Amino acid sequence: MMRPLFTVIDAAVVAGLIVLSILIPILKGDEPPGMLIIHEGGHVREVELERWATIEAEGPLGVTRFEVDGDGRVSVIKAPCPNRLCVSMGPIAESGEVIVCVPNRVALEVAGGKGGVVDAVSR
Amino acid sequence: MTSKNVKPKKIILFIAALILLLLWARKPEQLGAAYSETEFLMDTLVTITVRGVGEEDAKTYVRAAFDEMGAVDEEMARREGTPLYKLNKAGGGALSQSMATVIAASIHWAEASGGAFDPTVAPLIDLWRVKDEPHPPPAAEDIADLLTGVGYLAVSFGADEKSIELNGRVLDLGGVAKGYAIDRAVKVLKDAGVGNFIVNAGGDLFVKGDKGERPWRVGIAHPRKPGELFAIVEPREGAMVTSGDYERYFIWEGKRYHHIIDPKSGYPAEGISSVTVTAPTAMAADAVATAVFILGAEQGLAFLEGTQGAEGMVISSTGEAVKSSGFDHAAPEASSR
Amino acid sequence: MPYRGDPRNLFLARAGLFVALAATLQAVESLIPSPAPWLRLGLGNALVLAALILWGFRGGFLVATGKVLLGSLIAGRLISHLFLFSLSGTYSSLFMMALAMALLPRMGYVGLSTLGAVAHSLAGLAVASVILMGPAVWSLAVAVLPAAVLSGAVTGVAAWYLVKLSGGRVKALPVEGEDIRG
Repeated sequence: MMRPLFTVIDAAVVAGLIVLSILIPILKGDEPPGMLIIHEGGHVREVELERWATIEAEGPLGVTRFEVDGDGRVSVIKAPCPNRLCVSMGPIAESGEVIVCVPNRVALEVAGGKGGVVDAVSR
Repeated sequence: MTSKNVKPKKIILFIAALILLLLWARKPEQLGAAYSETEFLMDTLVTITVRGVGEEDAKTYVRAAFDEMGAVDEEMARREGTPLYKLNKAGGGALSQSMATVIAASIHWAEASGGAFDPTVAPLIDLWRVKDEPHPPPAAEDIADLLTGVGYLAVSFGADEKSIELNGRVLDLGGVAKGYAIDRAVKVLKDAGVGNFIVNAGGDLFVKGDKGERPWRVGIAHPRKPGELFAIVEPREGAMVTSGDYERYFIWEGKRYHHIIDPKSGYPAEGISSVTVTAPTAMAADAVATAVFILGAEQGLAFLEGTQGAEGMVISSTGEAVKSSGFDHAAPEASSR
Repeated sequence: MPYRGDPRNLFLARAGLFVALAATLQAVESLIPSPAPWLRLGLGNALVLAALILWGFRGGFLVATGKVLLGSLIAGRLISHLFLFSLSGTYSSLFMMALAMALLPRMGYVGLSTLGAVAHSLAGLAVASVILMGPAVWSLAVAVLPAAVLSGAVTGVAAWYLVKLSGGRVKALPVEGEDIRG
C-alpha cells in the first residue's frame, strides 16, 4: 500500500497542530519578562524585571535605590541628588522608558517585555 | 540502476530546487541586529542605536559619533572653562565655525519666533535654578530686574559672522547646542554609510532608516502620567524633539516650576504641557519646540504651520492634543501595538 | 539494468546517499543566516521521513543519526551547545513520526512531517528553556510553532517526492536473497 501524500487525517492533524501552536503559548507563557538596564557611570548591568526586588546603583553622589514591583514597574525610592527628579520620573514599565539621575550618573532603562514596541521615547 | 528505479538527474534537479527554495525562504539578514551604546553626555543620557552594519564597524562609528557630541559639549556647555563660558565672560569675541553656526541658528529662530525663543534668556535660567533642590521661586523684582538684560536684538555679529558682540547679554545655547550635537553625530553616521540609526539625547531624537522588520517606533511620553506613552509613532527620517514641563522642574508649595522660561515674562511658560516637533535637523526641532512651548497652543500651532519643514503636536495643560497639518505625515501613528 | 547484486549493497548505497544528503542539507541550512535561529525549513527531516517509509524505523534511525552527527560536524557545531538542539530535535521528530506511522496507517506525508516538525520545535524550545533563557522562551512558541507547521508541510511534500523518485517500492529493509527489483 502506498502511503498517500495528504488525507483527511493529515488535514485534521495539521489543523490540530495549528490550534495547539496557538494554544501552547497562551497556556504556557506570559510575555517575556522585560530587562532593566542599569547604567552606573560607565558600567552597565542588566536584571530581569520578573520579581519584586530592591536594587541599588552607585554613583559619584552616593547610592540610588530603586524598586521593581511584581508587575515589572521600576521606580526610584531613594536618591542622593539635590532635586530628586528621578524619584518623580517613575514608575517606568514600557520598553524604551528611562529614569535618569544626571547628577548621580545613574540611569535605568526598560528593554523588551511589556509593550516591547518602541525603540526610543521622545520626551 | 535503471531510469525506472532511481533517476539521478531528477534527484539532482530536485535537490537544486530545494536549495533554491531554501535560499529564497531565508533571505540573508545577518546584519539584522541593532547595536546600541549609552553614555552620559550634555547633562543627559545619550543612546546611539545603529543597525545594518557589522558589530565591529558599528562600535567604531558609534564611538566616533559620541566623540563628535562630546566635542560639541566641551565647546558649548555653560560650565566653567568652555569656549562659550569664556565668550560670555568676555562679552564677545571670535567664533569657531561650529559656534558661529549654532549662534546664527539661535538668532534665526529667535527672529522667526518673534523672540519667543531667545538664546539670551540665560540670566533668568540661572535665577530660577530649576536643577537644584526645591526652593522658593525668585522674587518678582529680581525677575523684572534681569528681564532688562534679556533680548537677542542687542547681540550683533561681526563681519561674516566670525565674531560676536554680546553687548551685556549672556548666551545659553542649551537645547540648540544639544540639537547641533545630535546633527553632528548624524553626519558622522551618514558619512560612514550607516543607513539605519537612532541618535537619542535624553529624548531628543534623530531617526533614520528602519529596524529591519518594521519602521523604528518612537513613543511620545505622556506629559502627565510618568512612565506612560501618549502615542507611538513611526517617524520618517529626521529629528523629533519634545519640550515638556514634566522633565525638569521643582515643586514649591504645591506649584510646579519647570525649566522653559518665557523671555518676555521671566516666568516658566504656561498653557502647554508638552510639544513634540519634527524637523529636518535636531537643532531646528529643538529651537522650534521651545518656541512653540513658550508661544502657547494657538500661536504655537500657527508658528508651526508657518515654518517650512517643521511639524508638531501640542498637548495642552488640559490634556488636549492638537497636531499641525503635516504631523501625521511626518510621524504616522504606529499601525499596531 | 536492474541491480542484481547483493541487495544489502543497494540498501547501503541508498541509505548512504540519504545520510549524505540529509547531513548536507542540515549543514547548509544552519550556515545560511537567518533572522531567528529557530527559523529553518528542516529539509533534512524529509530524508529521515523518506527513510522511515522506505526502510522502517531502523532506516529512519540510521539517517537521523547520520544527519545529526555529520551535519553538525560539517557545520562546525558538533562540539557546541547548538549540537544539543539538532540532536534533541531530530530524535524527537523521528520518534514522533515513527509512532504516528505505527498508529495511523492512513496518515499521509504531510501529517507525519508536520508532527515531526512540531516535535522538533518543542524539543528545541525545551532545550532552550533549560540551557539558555529559562521559561521566557515559551513566549517564542507563538512564532516557532506556526513556522514549524508550515515547514513541516513543505518537507512532507519533499519526502513524498523523494520516495516517489526512489521508486517507492522498497518498503522494508531487504533481506538477503530477496528480489528487490519489484
